[in-house]
Amino acid sequence: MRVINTKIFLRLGLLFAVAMSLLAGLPFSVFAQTEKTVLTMNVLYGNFNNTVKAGQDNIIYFQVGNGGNVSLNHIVFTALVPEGWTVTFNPDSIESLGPGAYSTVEANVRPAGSGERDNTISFIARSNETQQVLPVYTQLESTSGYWIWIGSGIAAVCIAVFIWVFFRLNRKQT
Amino acid sequence: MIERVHEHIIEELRTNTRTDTIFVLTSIVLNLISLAVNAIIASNNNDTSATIVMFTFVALIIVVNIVAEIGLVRGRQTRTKLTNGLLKMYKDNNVEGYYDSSLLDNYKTRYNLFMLVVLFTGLVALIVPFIIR
Repeated sequence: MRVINTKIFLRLGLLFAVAMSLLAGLPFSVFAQTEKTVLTMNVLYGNFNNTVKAGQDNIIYFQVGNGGNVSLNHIVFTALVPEGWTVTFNPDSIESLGPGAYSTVEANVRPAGSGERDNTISFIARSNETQQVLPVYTQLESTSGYWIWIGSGIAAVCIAVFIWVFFRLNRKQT
Repeated sequence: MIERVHEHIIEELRTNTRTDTIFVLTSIVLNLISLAVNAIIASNNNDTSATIVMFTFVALIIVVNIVAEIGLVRGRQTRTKLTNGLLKMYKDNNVEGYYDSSLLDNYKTRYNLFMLVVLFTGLVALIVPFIIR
């Protein structure tokens, strides 16, 4: 019984305080939802194992999402890549992405014929409100197995020369 | 005088052994070093300068192995000639029974095995970097 009375008194006290504030014209704050602009980017690794083939088209899919509570407008995609590399996006821009919405973007990475083996590509998504950078580590892979054939060819020539030298010198002895 | 000649032949044989050992060890060590360098280059870089360095080491492997092979063949021939001289000397002094002439065949086999080892380490040093690349 006593507990109920205490609660009623507390509520009445709070109401009285608010009423008095309004009457006296004192300022009081109203909690409003703040604008949050969050652009997220993730590589869809199911289609990508971090290796890109030199001089060929390599498709990397990534997902852009709006993790905020306002729409993101005119999202344009660009990329920072090593010299000689090209990247094209499909779509190359998104007009609007609502809160909580996601969209998949296809990036076609075409590396140069040769270069450093370890590289990082930075995918950049820039909207009117915010921007996001997605660094992706890649390993450059030779386009074909022709190096193995070159190595095998050199090895075969070496074996032939070795045998030729061996028999020629042995013949000279006799 | 014959004793001096005998000593001289023995000394020549020792020198020959030392030279052959140097040839074998140097070629194997250089092959392994080249393998390590080329494997590192092949796994890290795909550009033109790396390829040039790689092929320079390939040239080094080829030259070292051919030089080692020529050295070993010549070493074997020298050893055969020296041992034949010794055998003749022993025969002239009627002590040839103490020296088995089949030792010459053993030396021949041993030299061929040395050359095989040199050739194979050279081939491994050549091929592995190209496979990695």
